[in-house]
Amino acid sequence: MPRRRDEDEDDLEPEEDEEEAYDEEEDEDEGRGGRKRRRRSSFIDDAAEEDDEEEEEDDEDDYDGGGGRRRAKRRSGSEFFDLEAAVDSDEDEEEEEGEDDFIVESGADLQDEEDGRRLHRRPMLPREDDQEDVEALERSIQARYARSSHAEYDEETTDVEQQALLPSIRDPKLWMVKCAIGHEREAAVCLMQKCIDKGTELQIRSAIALDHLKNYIYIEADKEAHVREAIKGMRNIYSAKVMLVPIKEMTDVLSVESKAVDLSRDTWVRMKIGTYKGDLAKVVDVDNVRQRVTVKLIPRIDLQALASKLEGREVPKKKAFTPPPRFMNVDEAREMHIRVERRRDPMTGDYFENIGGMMFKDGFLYKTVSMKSISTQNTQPSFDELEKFRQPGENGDGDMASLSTLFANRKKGHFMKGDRVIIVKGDLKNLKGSVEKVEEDTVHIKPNEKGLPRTLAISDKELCKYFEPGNHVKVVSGATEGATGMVVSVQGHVVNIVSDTTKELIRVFADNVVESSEVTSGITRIGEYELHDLVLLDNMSFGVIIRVESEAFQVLKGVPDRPEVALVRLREIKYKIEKKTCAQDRSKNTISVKDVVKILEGPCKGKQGPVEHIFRGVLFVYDRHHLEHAGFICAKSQSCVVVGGSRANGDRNGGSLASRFSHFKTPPRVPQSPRLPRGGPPLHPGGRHRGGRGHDALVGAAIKVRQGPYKGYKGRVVDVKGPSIRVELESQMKVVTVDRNHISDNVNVSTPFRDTSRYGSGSETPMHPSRTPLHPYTTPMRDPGATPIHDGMRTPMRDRAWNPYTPMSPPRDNWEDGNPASWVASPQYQPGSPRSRTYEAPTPGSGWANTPSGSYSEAGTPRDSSPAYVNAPSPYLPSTPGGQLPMTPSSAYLPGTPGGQPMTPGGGGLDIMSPVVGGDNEGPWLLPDILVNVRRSGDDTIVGVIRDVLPDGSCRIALGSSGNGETITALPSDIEIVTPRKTDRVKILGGAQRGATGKLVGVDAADGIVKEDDTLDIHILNMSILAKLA
Amino acid sequence: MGSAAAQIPTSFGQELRACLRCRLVKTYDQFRESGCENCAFFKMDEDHERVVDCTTPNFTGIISVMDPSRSWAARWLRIESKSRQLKLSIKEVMALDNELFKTP
Repeated sequence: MPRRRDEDEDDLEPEEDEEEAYDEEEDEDEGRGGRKRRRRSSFIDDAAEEDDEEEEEDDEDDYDGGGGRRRAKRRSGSEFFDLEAAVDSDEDEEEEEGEDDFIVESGADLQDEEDGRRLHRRPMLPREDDQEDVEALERSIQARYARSSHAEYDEETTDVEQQALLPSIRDPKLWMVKCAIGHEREAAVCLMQKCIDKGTELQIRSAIALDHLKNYIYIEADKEAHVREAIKGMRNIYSAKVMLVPIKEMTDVLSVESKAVDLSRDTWVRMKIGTYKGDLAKVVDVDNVRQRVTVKLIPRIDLQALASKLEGREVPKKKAFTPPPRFMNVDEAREMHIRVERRRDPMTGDYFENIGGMMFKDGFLYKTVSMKSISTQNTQPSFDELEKFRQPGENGDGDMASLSTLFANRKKGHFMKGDRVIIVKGDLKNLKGSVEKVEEDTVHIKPNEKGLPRTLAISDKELCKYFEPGNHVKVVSGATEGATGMVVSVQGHVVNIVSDTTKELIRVFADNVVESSEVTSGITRIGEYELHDLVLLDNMSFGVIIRVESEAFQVLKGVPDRPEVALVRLREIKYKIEKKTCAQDRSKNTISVKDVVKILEGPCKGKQGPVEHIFRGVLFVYDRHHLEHAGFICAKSQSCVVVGGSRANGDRNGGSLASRFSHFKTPPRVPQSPRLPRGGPPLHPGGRHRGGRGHDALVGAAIKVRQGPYKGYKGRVVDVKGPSIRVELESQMKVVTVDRNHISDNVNVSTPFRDTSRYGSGSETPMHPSRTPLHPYTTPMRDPGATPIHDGMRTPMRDRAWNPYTPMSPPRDNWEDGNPASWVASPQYQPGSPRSRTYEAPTPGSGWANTPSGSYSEAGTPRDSSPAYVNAPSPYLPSTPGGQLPMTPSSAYLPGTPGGQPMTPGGGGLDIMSPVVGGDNEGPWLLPDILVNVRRSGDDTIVGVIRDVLPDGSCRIALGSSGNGETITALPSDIEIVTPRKTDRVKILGGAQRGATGKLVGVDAADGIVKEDDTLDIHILNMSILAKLA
Repeated sequence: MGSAAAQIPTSFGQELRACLRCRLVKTYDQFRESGCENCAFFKMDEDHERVVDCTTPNFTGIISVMDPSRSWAARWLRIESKSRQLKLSIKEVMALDNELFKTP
């Protein structure tokens, strides 16, 4: 990069000098400049290529056709660059022959002259035989200049060029240093001074002070040390902290947006400070040199106080109130013996009344203030305020003129395609039209008049929305926002509306109004249903409420083909549909709510707008310009197409994954197919049904989605409907529908009915690497390979620590030899074996994590027959011999975790409730004082607080969330621990900290971060061993 | 021009003005006394009225370029005002606003 930079330098520097030289010369003897020299300088701006041309022209003797051809060729290439524009602009400047007269002459003249020169010169070319070539050259040049003469006289560089300058790692870096507030510029200048004084000692490259960034300046340097060196001893700069600006943000630092609000006369501003703070003011004079403006205000003067003050009487220093704005009445002042002088302003010739140094005219106060004390942004004067300003001696016309300054405050995207507009300024004033296209500041309108070009480009400052009496409109901003009504009259920029609700006249600016069919009746909701809600009706049809009447709703039904509106009474509505679903558009892209779609067929073809509701593949699209049905259009998702990208969950927390994966539609299928039989219902629901509680057992269960777009997500089942279930996702605060076969219920669920095989699947820890569908599901190569290694490393430790039943604790060989069934021969490690759900976790990370628990279940399996071992599986069981863990489960795993994930041994399937399986050997698993859900008679659960844990494992529970209800005794199998949430107080039920209480300071997937009360230690523990304290 | 640095502003408040052509920042008085080093043809030192015409106090930041040849910031900013084709070869304090200088 440094090398490149040098080149740049070489390229540009001479030109620069030339231009300088030229400028000076021109200044001295303008007009005398020979044609030749002008030629030369006209190309000065171009780079090497232009130099070529120069050469050719300088020594014309050498000019030959071949050269021309070459040049022509090169030209065509050069058209891709901005060089022409640069040449052109210089030409212009030169033609002006004036040093500071920058007005651009028409490009056409220029072209003529250019051609003239060429023609004149050509006969002098020595070799004319290659006539064709020269003609081609001529054409290309003509084309070139013709084009460039049309080119705008702008000096924007292309994005490409700018891109080339983006900072790279080899460029100096920007450092942010703190400096004394208000001394930013000074600091930058002082650094410069220091640099000059010290010569090359200072190695910083530049110092930047931005007005909008108080308290900091930027210093450009290669090394932080250089910055420190430079700021050493600087009074204004605090060297405590030197912060590096990330390379990506470097350009942002320098892209200064000058708030070039042309503070001109008649601009509406607001006062920022003093008595008039917040008041509207109108600029009457601007003094750019002194940075002061004179504004016209409605005075807030307490005449009484003023009189006292002028008479020299005591005036209470602190004013208790701000006088209300009121026009100055000179006569009144005189009556109070306030001296009023009438003076003529020497500059403007206007007469002002001068009272105690304040200038008044027509009752207004004229005040000269610093530019900094007024705000010009977002002035947004309300109608009332402007009305007041109109008061004496001003007619509506003057008002209109100043209204134009209102436009300066308009937000971007003010005009939209289809808006009806009127031109309020310039030659085309009063021309009406409709908006065709909106660019940055330019609005292309289609004029209504005949005989005009199809579209005209008009500055948005010259446009105003236009309404006709009879239009039904809605106020979209301002004090009366939300009101709807009928336009009864239009006075310039002001629209008079009769409100639908109150039948009163509302006066608003046309700017604040949009055409709309919506009718506000004042009430927007009845019962729990509100305007624009999606509701399900009695007859199972659904629709959007488009109007709320006194006793009924108008509902646009979800019938895509034709708009169907029904009048529906409150009791006919079944419920509000709140679930957020997604649909697929024509090109199978996911549409979710708020995505902008375009309707491709049907009666509303061509309309476009954001999707407000999605239900059963039917979209309700809101199009502001759709004048029926409050702007709602009902369309089939298949007949729409998403405009731009779907934001499908993208902007929601943690949603990026989901949105990314929604695109991977097929991957899950392919690798999984061989295992489908296994993944099917027989396995999982089987486990669930063991509880004998049927489908409903699923409701409330925490599950994990194994397949489909939500794969890897965990959530709680909220509803079961046939083959599909609705799951409330943990990470996204939304409810999605997934296929029943696509879930696995391994996640720390509190359902006590589990079979051991679950431990295998349980290893789908919530550490979501497993979400990545890109990973193959089953990589037999990897798993068998990786597993033994990890296993070998880890298992013994684990076993020693937690499994007193393992006869061969540490030595690995023993483990292998002594327990052949457990893993060498274990079907677990054989791809495709029924057990190997392990492999569903696709990443190595979770792959190995599975293994321990996998082997666990293996270890457990053979023992199932032996009653003695039945209770073994839970390593967390503190009651088991040796149960006091040397360390927390998670920490035990940490050393081996490749990604540093706090891998959750228990996160897997080792369920908190697992000991319950054993039942009789129940240790004091549950602890007093924790909040639990008790299942009573049937399926309903009641919250209660454990008061006592009885020796037989059952608990005495006081019902009620604070434990003040009746006390019952429940079996552990009927008890579910209430999972704590962040900031809840918790009790630790397992591990070394068992019994300790603390605060849950954070939840990371299946891990909870707990701050222990006594020791203030932070532990990362599996959520399943945390219980909410009552 | 030469290698001598342009004058360094001696105060930092509202007196600071930027040359409309080259963005050089100096105080009003400095412009009056010695004009703009880059744009001598403005002859601000001869006709003091021109100081007001040829300079502006409306800019929102300044940059002190100590090492024009190796400063990324200077390069980045130069391109933005390419029409001026001004290449810093000396140490200068410049106004930052690009907008200001886009349309003469």
